[in-house]
Amino acid sequence: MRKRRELLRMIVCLFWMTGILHFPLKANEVIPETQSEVIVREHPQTGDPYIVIKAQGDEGREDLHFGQPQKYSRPDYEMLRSSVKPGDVAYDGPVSSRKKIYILAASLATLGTVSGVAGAALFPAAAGTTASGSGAGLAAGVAVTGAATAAASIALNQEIPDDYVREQESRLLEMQTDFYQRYVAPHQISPVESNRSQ
Amino acid sequence: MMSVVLLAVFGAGCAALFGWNIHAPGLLSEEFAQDISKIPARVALYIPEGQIDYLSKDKGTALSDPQTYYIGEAYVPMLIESFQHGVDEFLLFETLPTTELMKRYAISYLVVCEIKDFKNRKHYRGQGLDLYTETFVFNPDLSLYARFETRGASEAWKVFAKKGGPEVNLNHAIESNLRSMMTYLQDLLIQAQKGTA
Repeated sequence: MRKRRELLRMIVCLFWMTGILHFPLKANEVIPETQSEVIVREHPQTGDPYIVIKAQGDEGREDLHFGQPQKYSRPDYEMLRSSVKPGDVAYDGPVSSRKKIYILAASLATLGTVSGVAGAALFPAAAGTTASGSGAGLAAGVAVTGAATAAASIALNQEIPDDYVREQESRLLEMQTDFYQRYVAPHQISPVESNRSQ
Repeated sequence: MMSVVLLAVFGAGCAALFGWNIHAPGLLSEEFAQDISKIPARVALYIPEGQIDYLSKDKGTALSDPQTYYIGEAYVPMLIESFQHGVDEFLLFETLPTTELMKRYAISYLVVCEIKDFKNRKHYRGQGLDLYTETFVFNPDLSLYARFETRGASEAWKVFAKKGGPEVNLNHAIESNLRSMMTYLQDLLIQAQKGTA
């Protein structure tokens, strides 16, 4: 009789595990309808998939849709070494071009609007390259232009360290605390301290 | 006539025409994946709105050319990538997280990262960039588990003399921040799993 019961129990368990006989288990807590759905998106540049939870029927966050993928190579930080010359390390990422500055300055110079100190102050980089400003303007242009500054510094100081520096630190600001730690412990005075204060 | 031309030029947004517009590649380096290994955890990330538009016009010194650093547009994809590398099961919330959602998808922790500050330490021979962020870690019931701040910095010489120099320096500063953030987060989660936190 006992063997039969055990056998029956095993068969029921087996059927339940395989999904043939599936009865719902009583849940501890009823989970309400969350109105959400799971989709998979691809990283805009690497193409690696990741899971997104978004509201049902919604397009999701527009600011997190990155549009057309841009296939850049991964950056090589060797480029930041001072001994590495421009072009030594391959780079196909975005570049800040200052050509438009020159174009603007040139167009203004053609119009005859760039002249003297005022022009150089407004367009220092352009003033240094187009040579349309006065002497004061040219000096100002060299002083504030990034590339010119860097080039000048090589001649001035040969002791520039070759390596680039990475610094990183994290600091805990707040940790989970219970009621006792937050409200009681800070106000408790230890017997030693209370004796000293007396 | 001259004043009309000048007004038209400046009125059209001179700052956009003049200066450095620095867009980082927005990709982690290969070293990141080598140095940071995944931990077994199901972690969801929520990125507050507006992070992708975060930019800074800090030009470092009064005499420097105007510079605009588009930090958010690189930080957000790199943040997602760092979570792809850092945790076994990563989910991104594109809706407001709730306790019901956390329970339904059995998410162990919700992480929220925010950019707090950006500093440009441009000097005569080089440039240092600092990115400050704050990270919030929430339990499944959305109570705060921990909050920490992170600073990631990159300092290099002759940055502006190289094609892509400022862009890579910005990328490096963001990656430094994410390295530290992910390492610290992993430590916190491992401690929590062991029950030692």
